[in-house]
Amino acid sequence: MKRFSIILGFILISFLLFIPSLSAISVMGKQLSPILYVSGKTITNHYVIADTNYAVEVVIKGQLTEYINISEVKDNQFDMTIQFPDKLIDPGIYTFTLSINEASHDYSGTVGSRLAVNKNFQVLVYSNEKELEPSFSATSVNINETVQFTIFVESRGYQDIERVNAEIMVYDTKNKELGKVKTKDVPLPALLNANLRGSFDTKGLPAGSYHAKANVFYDEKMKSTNATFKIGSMELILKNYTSIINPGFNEFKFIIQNNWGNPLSNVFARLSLNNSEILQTPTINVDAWQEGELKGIALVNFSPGIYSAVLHLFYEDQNREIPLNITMVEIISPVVKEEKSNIWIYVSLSAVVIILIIIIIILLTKIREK
Amino acid sequence: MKEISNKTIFLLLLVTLLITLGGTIVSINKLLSSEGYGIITSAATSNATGTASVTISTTTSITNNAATIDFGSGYVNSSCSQCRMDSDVGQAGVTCCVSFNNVTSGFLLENTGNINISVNYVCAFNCTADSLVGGTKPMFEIKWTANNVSAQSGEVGSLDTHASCGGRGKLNSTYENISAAGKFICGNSSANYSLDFNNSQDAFVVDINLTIPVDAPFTNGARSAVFTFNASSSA
Repeated sequence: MKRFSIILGFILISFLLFIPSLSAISVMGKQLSPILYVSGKTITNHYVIADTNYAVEVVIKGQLTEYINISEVKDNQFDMTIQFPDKLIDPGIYTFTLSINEASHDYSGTVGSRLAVNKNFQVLVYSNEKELEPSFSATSVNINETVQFTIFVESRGYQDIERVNAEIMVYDTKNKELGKVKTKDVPLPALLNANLRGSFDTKGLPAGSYHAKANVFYDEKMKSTNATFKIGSMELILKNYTSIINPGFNEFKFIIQNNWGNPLSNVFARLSLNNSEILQTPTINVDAWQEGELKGIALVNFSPGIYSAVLHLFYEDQNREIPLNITMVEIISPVVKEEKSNIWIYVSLSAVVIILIIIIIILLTKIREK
Repeated sequence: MKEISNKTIFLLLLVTLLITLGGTIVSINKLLSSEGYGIITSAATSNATGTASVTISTTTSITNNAATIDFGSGYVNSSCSQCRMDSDVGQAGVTCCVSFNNVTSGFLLENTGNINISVNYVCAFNCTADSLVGGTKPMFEIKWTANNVSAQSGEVGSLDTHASCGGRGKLNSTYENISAAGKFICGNSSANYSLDFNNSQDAFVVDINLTIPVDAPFTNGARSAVFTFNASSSA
């Protein structure tokens, strides 16, 4: 019994010595950052501390700490209250940290450790002036349709803006001005946002890429922003294709782009090489403005050289011919070990099966005779 | 035995077909007449609106799966110039380190929250080799390695399969001197929270090298250094 107790004690001590010690700390709370500074506003957030076996201390470090209070920690829970003053402070980004540290405790061992978790906050203080941030978007359209312009304006100041409007200039790729659009006036209260809208008739303009510049006027100030859009026509553009092939079977790939603002269905291609059709691809659908891949395998046994080919692209009820050059390159084949024929395996197997059948027949005959 | 004629087989097939069709019709009729299946339609027959709200909290959490590195007490064999104890690989020349614990695990730090964090360390008490050990050329150094490389067991989640802290496996693979002020060892103070909360890449190991020269002065009580590992996240 005494010996058993000694062994048990030894096992327990060994276990305690070799088990890795573990410590942890967590803090849980609703996401707040970035916080928009609004004078006089009060924000309260609740936090729960978990996983730690030690006493904790909660500390606020950084900027604006004079406006932040931490309640007493009870049952590992506390509130953080931010009380912004009734005045405007200098604009900018302020930061502060909520830190939860394990309090000092006895550290066993030569090198001990303790843990802390920090939550880093940002407070955005906007300008005291009338300020806004515009973002501009334009819809791509099909030929002769109307482009819709939208300018999203977000107030970044603590003063109401009485009037916001925009003037939009439309340009082609050569920066030639094609027209102007003016939006309506809208008021923009402090810290809120609004949309300015306009439209532009593309009648008579060819398909292609265009850009527009919006000058946004707000009270006595102005900001500019740009956007691009496309005018599409119902056509497929060949972006890339398999141009180098080897004698034998080849996979041909054709990357095409839909230049139309609507999906194109029944898209397929036929490839003619040296005046004879060698390939027809399966049919695919291509979404508006998107790329698609047409592919297929064809046998080509020409001597090395450059050959002229014609790609016929079919879509909806239309088709388009695109001349191509395809280069045939001779394969410099590596020395390949001649594969041994497997026929002897099949012959042997067949022989074994035949012999087995014969044996079975003989056995059955004998059994019947008996 | 009398052979079955083709006519009989045909009749049997016909009967089977009739039973199948009849069964299908009966099943559909029963389904349509049962409550709640008046007619099959894709349109809603009534509607009501409701509002559901959900607040997802963020948990900033760090776990140290090996909270102490205890080299214990002992002395340097007089036939050796030093005793090197490395928590990564253990003692170098075991005969030189007499009675010390042969530690082979570093601090295993793991992001156990639901948000990415950065980690820095600061050190308190005896944070230099001279103050911790003394003697001629003592060493007290630190290095840190992603746990998909260190493969130290004990992670709360599964063992990492990808490099933590921005994808560099050997984060700081050579030992450097420890400083009391410490430094960022994963991510940085500029909102680069690179210790992922994803279980496959959420841990790294901090190893310590303690080298005691043979002429290190005798100390009555054990000396120690304490590291504070700070896990920071956005709030």
